[in-house]
Amino acid sequence: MGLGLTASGASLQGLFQNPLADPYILGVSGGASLAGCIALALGFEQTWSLFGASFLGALAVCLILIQVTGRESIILAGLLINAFASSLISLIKTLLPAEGTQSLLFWLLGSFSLPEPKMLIFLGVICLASVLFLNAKSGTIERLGLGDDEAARLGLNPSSEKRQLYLVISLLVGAITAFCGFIGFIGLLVPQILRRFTGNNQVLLIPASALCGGLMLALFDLLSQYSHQLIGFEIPVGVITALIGTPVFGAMAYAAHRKSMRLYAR
Amino acid sequence: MLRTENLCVYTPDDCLFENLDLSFKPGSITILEGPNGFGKSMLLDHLSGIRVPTVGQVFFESQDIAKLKPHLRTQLISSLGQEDTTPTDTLVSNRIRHGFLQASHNPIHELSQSLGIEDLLNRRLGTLSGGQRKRVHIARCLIHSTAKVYILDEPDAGLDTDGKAKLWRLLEQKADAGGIVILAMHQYN
Repeated sequence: MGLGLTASGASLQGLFQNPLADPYILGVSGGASLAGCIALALGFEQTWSLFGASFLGALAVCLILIQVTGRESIILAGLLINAFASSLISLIKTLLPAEGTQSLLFWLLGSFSLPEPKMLIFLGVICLASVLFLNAKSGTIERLGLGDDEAARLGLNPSSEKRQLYLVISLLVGAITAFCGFIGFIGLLVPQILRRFTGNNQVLLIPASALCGGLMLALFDLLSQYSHQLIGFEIPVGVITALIGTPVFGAMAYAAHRKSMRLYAR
Repeated sequence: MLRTENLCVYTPDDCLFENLDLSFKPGSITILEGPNGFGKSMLLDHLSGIRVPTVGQVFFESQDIAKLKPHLRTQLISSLGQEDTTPTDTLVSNRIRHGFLQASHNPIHELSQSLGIEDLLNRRLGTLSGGQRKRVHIARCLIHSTAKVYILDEPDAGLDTDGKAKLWRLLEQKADAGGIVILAMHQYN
């Protein structure tokens, strides 16, 4: 899951050339969660139904994003989609009976406890195949990040390439959201940290992000399990990634701000 | 030979050129000169095939370039836009390689020597001056060794005298080797 979230985060950041772009900020995870919540509310509680709904939700958001141009507009579009999705999810929570709300909340917060081995195999195959595809397309993502005109000059068909990439990212995010819930920040943070070392070399950045993301999420899962022994209940992985991710991301943004201020002061 | 037949170039509000029949011969350097907003860049975009004409056609030999797949078109035509949108944390050598993915170290080193940027290959674009970035931008286009047509939009903007001289030497070499060179400029001196 960590592989998939960080590989999709790195790919979206490369495509939009915006360090804030990741499935969580752009609303792709939000769209998948909303569709999953609607499926749950309608009584489709099987994981396969949740997967289908989450994939369609993520794909719908990607189809909206493909219409948006501009590095800043894409974040604005993501904010709007997230606001819309979270308000509808809140509405669903209030309309559901108490036990339904609890299972929905736990699904939304994310858990790695997959009940059946075949689901684990299915998710593993989707994650691995999608990450390998994104890895194979890393050079294309780097060139698409230069803008449609420059990408066309470099021999790409930007709209066709983007459609393929969005489809795979939707599949990946939809599957992860359906099986493990809403896990934010990891797709934003890991590529951000690694980009300091790799620069805009997507051929290095995407596989490195995937590997580090996989390791980091495994570590967070251990923490989540350890919390059960320590305090008597399991803190969902989605909460841990947000609790650790927010201050680290804030510190990175502050350091970048201080650096730019020092440049101006010279 | 690159030629246009009855080519019309439109913006959403305006008709910039109508019924253009142009031909560009191998070994030639053609300069399109004109003021801002004249439509030079739009015309170059049509000639390089990144915009498909609504009226008229652009041919390379007998091949309509609008009907070529993008990667096949790029094997024939290497073009350079006016603006460089490359992220500042891109390595100079990687940026040059964007123009020709098969380029090995030697041609990149030779070209960068010809443009006076051989010491910058391992630096990131954000650490370069505007003129140095322009030279890297030009190298991205000229590294394409198998292209038959080179189309550059205002390649000399932001270059110093030495940079302009080096650019001209390289363009003449491309033309002498049988390439078609087409440039847009505000003022040709």
